[in-house]
Amino acid sequence: MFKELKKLRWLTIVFISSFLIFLPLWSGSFIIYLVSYSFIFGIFAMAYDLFFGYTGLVSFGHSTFLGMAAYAVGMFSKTLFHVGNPLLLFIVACGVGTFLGLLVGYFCTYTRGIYVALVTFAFAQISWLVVMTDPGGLTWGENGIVGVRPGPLEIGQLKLNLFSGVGLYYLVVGIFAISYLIIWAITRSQVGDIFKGIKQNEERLLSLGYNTKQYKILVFALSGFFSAIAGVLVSFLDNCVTPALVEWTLGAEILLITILGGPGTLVGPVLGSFLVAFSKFYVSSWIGEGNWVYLLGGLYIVVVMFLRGGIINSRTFHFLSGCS
Amino acid sequence: MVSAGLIVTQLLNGLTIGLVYALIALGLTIVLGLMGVVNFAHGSFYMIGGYITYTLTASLFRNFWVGLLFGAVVCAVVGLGLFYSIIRPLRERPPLEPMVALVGVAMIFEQLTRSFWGADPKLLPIPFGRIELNFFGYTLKYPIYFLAVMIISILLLSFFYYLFRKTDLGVRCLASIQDRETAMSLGVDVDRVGRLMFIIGMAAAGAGGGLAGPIFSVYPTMGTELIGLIFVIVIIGGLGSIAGTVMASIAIAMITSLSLIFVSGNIAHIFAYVILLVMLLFRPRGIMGFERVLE
Repeated sequence: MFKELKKLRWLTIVFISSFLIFLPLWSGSFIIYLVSYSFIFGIFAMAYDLFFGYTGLVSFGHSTFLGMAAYAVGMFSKTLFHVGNPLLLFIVACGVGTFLGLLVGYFCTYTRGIYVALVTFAFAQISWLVVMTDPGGLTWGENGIVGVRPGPLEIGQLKLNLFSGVGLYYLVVGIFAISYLIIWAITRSQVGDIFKGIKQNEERLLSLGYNTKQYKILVFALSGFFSAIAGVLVSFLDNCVTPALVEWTLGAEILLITILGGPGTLVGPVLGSFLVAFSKFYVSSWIGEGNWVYLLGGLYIVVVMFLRGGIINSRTFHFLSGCS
Repeated sequence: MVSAGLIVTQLLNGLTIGLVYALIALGLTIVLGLMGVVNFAHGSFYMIGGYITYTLTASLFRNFWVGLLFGAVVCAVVGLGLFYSIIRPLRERPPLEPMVALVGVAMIFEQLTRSFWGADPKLLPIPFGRIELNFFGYTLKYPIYFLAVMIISILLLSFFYYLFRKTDLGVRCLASIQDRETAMSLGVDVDRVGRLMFIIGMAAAGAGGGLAGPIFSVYPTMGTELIGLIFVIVIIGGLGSIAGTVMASIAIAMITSLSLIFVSGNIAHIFAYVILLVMLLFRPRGIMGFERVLE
């Protein structure tokens, strides 16, 4: 029976990947945009889930990592230098994301529990205020950096035009697949077991001689790295970088997406990201932008009150059984 | 060259605003200490208080003080509703869950004000005129209203002091913050204390919003903008400590308003967050917090 299930799993993977490869052939540019958007936030949600669902830490400021990475792209390609090479932009932005992850993680090891959420929130506020003040004309204040245009991505003979929707779509899907595999491998590795151990019982890990502080900083850095990848992609997708990418509301939204989908699984947050992205674009054009805020706000309440563990495992999984 | 008059004015402004912050932060720190709930919707009550005061001042009563009183009462009633609908059903859950739900509540409140009153800031006229103050030979004109805000805030804060030092309710509340299990086993009805404290805290936040209305004017995002600063104050002051919270509020407000002489408002706020981070490294439990950190 297990063999059959395994076959079924491979069949699903083949089916989904071929569907995604051939999607641009028959769908409009708006659908391509939406699917790219959902996958980008899927990467962000997986990065958040590694931090929240697996390690049991709570953050309200993950928008710092995504937003500052996007601003790094904006600064290097527009305001500070004029770098067009996407590979270089990726390296710089991921460096920024990882560094910020290390920094925030270092401060968060001095506190615990729900206070971690407040400290990450403070970092999101600091980044937002810095971006809004427009230091040295680098961030263009409230309007954000507009006109971010990545050059074509060249790997050997292959040349991918990232300014077209379809070219970027293939890049997003490819990076999503790689990120999924890497994060999946992390959760199955020994380090991943320690992350899960931090969630379940940090005291026991400490008494076994593990330095949980280092592992917490590590998970911050990993999460910051993958959030930064999402940040780069979102700046390529929208061709602009706005302060809304740094604001804490985005950090709260990714928490909502993760809880909605199912923390502690990798498929769940991606599903949640698709659900929120599609309803954001379709439902808000249907009922109006203002009413969508009511719906989103209501979703925060409903998910917590009635949908514990998310849509993936709403009964079996006790999310946040140990929030430390 | 910065004139001494400017510095004195900014210090007075800092003191006024700090006292208002203290009024708002007290409710948050007590709710956090007592029930372990990080009330993200706390800023919404500040906003509701401000808007109710604005509406009643502008149309119905044409009297600022009646509007202020009504703002606080409305906030208490809405707070009671919030307590029964969100906070009580989620009270046995891990602290993250009520926090997430309250983020939703804050978003809904913000959008409600936006659709009722519009997104533009509403100006409240500053009651009273200006007064000439004398400081060591310097004379400066200062709005009487700011001094009135100081006096009202000090009166309300001394009411809190009386509540916590002299009344049964306050003592039970402090006992529950220090050790919830022991207080419960000694017969303190933590639930009832929590409900009363929540309502009082929300009314104080509403009064703070009304008092700050003429100073900052009212606008839909005022609550979510303030809440970050209030979190900073609560962490620096120490969980559940009244004196610590008041000290932290005044210190933060004075530092930000003094730095306003040299830098823009956004950078002044960054200073507040940096103080939080430095505090975290050297004294994680805050100025006067209890040893026990919130689990």
